Amino acid sequence: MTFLTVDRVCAEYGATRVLNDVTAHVAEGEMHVLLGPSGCGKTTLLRAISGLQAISGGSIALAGRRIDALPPADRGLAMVFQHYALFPNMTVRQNLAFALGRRGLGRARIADNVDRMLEVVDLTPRADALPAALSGGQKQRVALARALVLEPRLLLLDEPLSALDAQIRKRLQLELKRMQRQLGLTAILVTHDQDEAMRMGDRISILNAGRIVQSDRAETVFHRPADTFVARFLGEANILPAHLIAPGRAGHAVIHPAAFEIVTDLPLLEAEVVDTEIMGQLVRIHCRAGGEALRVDRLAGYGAERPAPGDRLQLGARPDAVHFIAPTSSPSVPDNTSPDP
Amino acid sequence: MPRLSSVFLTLAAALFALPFVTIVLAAFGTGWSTGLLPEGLDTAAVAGVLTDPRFQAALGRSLAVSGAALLLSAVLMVPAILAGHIYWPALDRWLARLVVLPYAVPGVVLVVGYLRVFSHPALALNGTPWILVLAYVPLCFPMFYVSIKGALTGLPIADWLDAGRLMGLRDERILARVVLPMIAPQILLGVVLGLGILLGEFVYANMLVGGRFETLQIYMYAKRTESGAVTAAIILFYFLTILSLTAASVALSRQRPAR
Ligand SMILES: Nc1ncnc2c1ncn2[C@@H]1O[C@H](COP(=O)(O)OP(=O)(O)O)[C@@H](O)[C@H]1O
Ligand SMILES: [Mg+2]
Repeated sequence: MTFLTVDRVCAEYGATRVLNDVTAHVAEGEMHVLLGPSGCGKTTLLRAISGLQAISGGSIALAGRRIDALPPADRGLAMVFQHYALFPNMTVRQNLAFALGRRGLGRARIADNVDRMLEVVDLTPRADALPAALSGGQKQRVALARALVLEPRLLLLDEPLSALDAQIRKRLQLELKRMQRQLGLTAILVTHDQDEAMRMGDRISILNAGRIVQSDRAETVFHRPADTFVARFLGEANILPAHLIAPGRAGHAVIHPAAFEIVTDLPLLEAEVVDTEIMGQLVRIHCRAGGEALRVDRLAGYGAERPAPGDRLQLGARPDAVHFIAPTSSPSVPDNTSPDP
Repeated sequence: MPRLSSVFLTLAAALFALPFVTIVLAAFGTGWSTGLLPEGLDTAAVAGVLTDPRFQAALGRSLAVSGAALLLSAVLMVPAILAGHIYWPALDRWLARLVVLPYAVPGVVLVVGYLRVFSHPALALNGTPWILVLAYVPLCFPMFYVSIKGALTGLPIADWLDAGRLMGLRDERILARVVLPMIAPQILLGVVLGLGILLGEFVYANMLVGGRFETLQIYMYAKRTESGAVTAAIILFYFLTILSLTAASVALSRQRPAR
């Protein structure tokens, strides 16, 4: 059942349209990832949902109730900002308590809620520290706690992990996901990192130049991209002219590098090896076929033989590993990563 | 090479220190008429100045006028700078140009203007300390503008206000509870810099109130014909005051808001 409905929402900065008829559905209890290149309007969409940014058209409903005319604080949601936006002159505990200042709760209730939330994010020992004394990951958890202490029905996360280094980011991804499941939170997570999107998202919506181009389960978005923009943005799939795979066919064929098999008969393609490269447990073979560059990944055992430049490979793939994109389904918005002028 | 540069540095430092040393010697020395150095040392001149009721009154007046001007200036400027920085960038650009006007126009011209304006019956403040306070207010504007603006530029104020709006907190509350505490050292820096300027200001004080309201500078001017030791003692006191204000401002400007 749809919990949040964003229906044909538009928003502008001055004369520049940043959100163009955005429609999205988020189910209760799901982690919905909003993925897109930087500048495509992800933050603007979160701000429109939260009421921090005015919309010029469309409607937003949460749990069956229109919220787009309500002031931000009455919408029942909370947001974690990209750069945390913690109050530097207040301790961790004060940051959380300050957030509850206008709720009309008694002192004891506030203290209880704050303590409980500090326990959830495992920050009780740092409760009296100032934000400047915390590590990046700890600041992130304070920001999360400060949002959760408001008991929102919907949590908005604007690239919450992008300021952290790779190690901590992976750990916090898992932690965030676990917490979201445990607390049964409905959340929208914004990211421009496709690995993070795959790892975290129950569903993924892909935003390009102010439009949602596809919204589906991670697996579907990855293996059945709606258009070449999505295919290019998610991973390193080969996007080939369809006629190379199926003579006479128009549009594009999408094949992931690891989906290729080296066969002896009935090949899909014959390719010439250009170069090879070891990528940990995979060997990437760079080839050319029909004038197109092609990436093929094979498992790399220790000391395994690698094809030499100039070798010819017969490549096959399971039929369901080949995805065709019809030429008409190419998006009406350009595939660039920069916004429209 | 390092040798040579340290020699030059020492020479330059000695050169700069010379006036200070001379003033100290003049203030504490006795019988300094023939030799290179005074014949004896004596704290009479310094003690005399510090215990002179006229000096104490002048110091009190200077501090009162400066304090009032700084308070008024801060009350006007801090909200204006915040409003410009956060809500009204166009105002901010004008503010940056306007605050230096009192320094771009020669003091004498301004004084003539002030005297005409404040001789009008409705605003008859001529000769009272208030006209000096009002003339000093704009002199403090640039001190506040530069120091506060520098602090604001690094702060994520828009995010704080957004976070507050989601919590149901009005902008004023975030400004009072978060932004003001974060820029407090820079407001104080504006006060210290302004105090340094105002305590040494002579043109306005002399032309607007003169002997009718003797401030520290006017007192110093009136005493210039007395013994060299007395003048030196006044200058020494003044010098030490400015030195400590400078030290305070250096300490304050080092104090960066923690992120
Ligand atoms: N306050 C603003 N004024 C004008 N343009 C803005 C403003 N904020 C964002 N934009 C523009 O709107 C577009 C979308 O921005 P944003 O939603 O922040 O993208 P994302 O979060 O996906 O990186 C960008 O082209 C950006 O330059
Ligand atoms: Mg963004």
